[in-house]
Amino acid sequence: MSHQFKSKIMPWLFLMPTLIVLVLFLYYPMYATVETSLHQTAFMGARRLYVGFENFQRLLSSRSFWHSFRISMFFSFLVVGLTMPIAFLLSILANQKIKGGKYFRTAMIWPYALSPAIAGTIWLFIFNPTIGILNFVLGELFGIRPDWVSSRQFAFIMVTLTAVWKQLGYNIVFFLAGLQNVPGQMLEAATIDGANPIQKYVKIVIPIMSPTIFFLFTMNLIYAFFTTFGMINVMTQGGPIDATNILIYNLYRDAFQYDNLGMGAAQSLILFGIVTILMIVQFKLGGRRVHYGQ
Amino acid sequence: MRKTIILMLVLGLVFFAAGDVTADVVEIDYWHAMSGMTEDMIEEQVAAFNELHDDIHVNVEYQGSYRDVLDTTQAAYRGGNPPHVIQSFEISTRQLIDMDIFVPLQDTLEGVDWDVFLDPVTNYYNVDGKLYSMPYNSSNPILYINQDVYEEAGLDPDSPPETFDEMIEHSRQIIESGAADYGWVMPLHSWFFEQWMANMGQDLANHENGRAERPDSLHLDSQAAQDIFEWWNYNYQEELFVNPGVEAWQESRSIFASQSAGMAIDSTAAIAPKLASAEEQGFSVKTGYLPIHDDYERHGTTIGGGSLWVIDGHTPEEQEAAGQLVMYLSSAEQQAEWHKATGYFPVHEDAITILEDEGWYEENPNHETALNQMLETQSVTSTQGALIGPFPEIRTQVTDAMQYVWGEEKTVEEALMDAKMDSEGILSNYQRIIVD
Repeated sequence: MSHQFKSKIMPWLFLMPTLIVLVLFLYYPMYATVETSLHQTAFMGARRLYVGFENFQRLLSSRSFWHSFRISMFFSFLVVGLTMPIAFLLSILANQKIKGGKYFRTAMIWPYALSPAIAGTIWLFIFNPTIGILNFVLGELFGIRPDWVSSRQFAFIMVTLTAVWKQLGYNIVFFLAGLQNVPGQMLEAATIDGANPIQKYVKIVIPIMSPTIFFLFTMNLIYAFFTTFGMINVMTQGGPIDATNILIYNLYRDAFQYDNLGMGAAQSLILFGIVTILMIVQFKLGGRRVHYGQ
Repeated sequence: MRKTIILMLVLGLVFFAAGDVTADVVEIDYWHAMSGMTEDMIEEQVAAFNELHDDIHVNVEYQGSYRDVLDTTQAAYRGGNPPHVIQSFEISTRQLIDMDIFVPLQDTLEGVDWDVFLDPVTNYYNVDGKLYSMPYNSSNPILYINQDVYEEAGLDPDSPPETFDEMIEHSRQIIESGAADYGWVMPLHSWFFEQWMANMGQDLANHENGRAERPDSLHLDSQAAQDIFEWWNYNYQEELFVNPGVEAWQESRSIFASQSAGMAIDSTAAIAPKLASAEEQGFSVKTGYLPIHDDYERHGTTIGGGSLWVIDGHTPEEQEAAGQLVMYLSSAEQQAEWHKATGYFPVHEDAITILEDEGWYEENPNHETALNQMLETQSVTSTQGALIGPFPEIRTQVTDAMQYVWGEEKTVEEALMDAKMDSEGILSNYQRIIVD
């Protein structure tokens, strides 16, 4: 079925809306980022100095940038690695047919409705070493009061836990939907064949849910790299020293706090590269194990 | 039919244009960075100004932090639609002059007697012999003590500590008596370090604190800097001081309000919320000068807070209206009201007379501390304050250095030396883009 347009303009006219949106919101910003990354800038880009690849050279040879890189990778690994199993276990519990199950499910999904900045503020109060409830409980029970604010290790743990907590709700929504799609007959058949609960989950439920798991893995990775910015901005501002200064925060700080958009642009290109590589690896390795359809 | 529509459109346009011409009210935008109680006060001031001027209407907008005001102003300037007046913080003075988009007020504003402003204030904002911005909200750091904790600890609330050693003694007594968990609290903020340097007579930046020419290094390896760091670190390690976090103003105030610490060092601009929360918790507050190191002479504090800047490139009428607004906001009457509502001290001489005549200071002695501290300040380059372009980045260097010492990853000397080296890189980077 091949329609021939009478005029050559018509197809372009139909394509126009899409092209305009793409050019305005995708191609032009991309071009501007590349262009800005080749400049040292001041005053929100009002003053620029062409420096070639100096921004990239300075980043790649700076200890603090590589520190941010390592922190980012470790942070993302922890956030994804903790969120998914915890959310999966909670979803299994929430999926039981018990009295009031609806309310438990709602409560578990709740954190997702909060913005990262609000979640950060709430947890900052909980973690406050002097007047926070967490240290009060820890102090009464175990006689320890960790300094979540000054210590680099504890601050990192604090931000990681908050990021995981905030993302649980999102994961639970999808896991619950996935669990409810597992056909009951299959599980019944497995029970008759003598499979124990663990075998049922490993051999039946998880393979059936593999598209959901794969999707969540991708979303969680993006969350860990980008969305967690709001929490870090509220809770630690990348500190103490650079303990929670993940790449996205470092980018923001250089571009907007220190007024060097060029440096920020260079970092956003590097970050773009890193995430692209991670996605390719993930699709190559994980994509094969995903079963779609029944 | 078609003709009728066109006619209606044309008529509509004519009316629209005419409406615009006949209303000769000049609209100007004023962006500021004050939230909470202070924001309410600004809204009131602007409403009163609008009331007084039939031909001017000021749209006032809260833009977030000082940094946010600057970023949005620059973006708006590039977009061709900047505001007319902005409030910006003191440390951005060098940067704002370098931006070259603001009107130097002392050259262009007519009918202003610049001598009515207090000397320490004009000293701070005077760059190359003139004031570029209008002094507005000025502050300095003071000591707040919890009177109830003091009495419980057997200390005299009428003689707050004046030196670093006394801070340690008082803190020990507070903790040992069980009156509070910690001696004192203060946000980990470079501002306080800068204030101590100034007070102890040590310039922060070279080239006379950046006043003679642009600085290319910082005196972070000076004896004064080391003494401050050593003392602060001692307080941290001995748990006399509790660290609420980097620039954690709110957390610091919560800790003081919860009576976990007997003393706090904070800006005078925090006096209203501090007194309010103390009343809520049922304790009284006394204030004192910022304590300094025992071995140094007291030079006084440098000016904190912000000032008002008028942006270039508007019509003469708008520029004129903007001038009216900044003059109104820094007038004696307004400054007196402003001081009472916010705790920022008045920048206008006559405002002090007004307040004294009203008997304000007899009723509110805590409000007088910062004012006296400022009036007693000696006029030297250290208290004049440092002029540094990339100040925000330098501040991170200072707070990072302190944290390396607290974490026992570096000695005081190493941490300050590293910060000095990194700062030189930051300064030369700024220099390159500004001067080229």
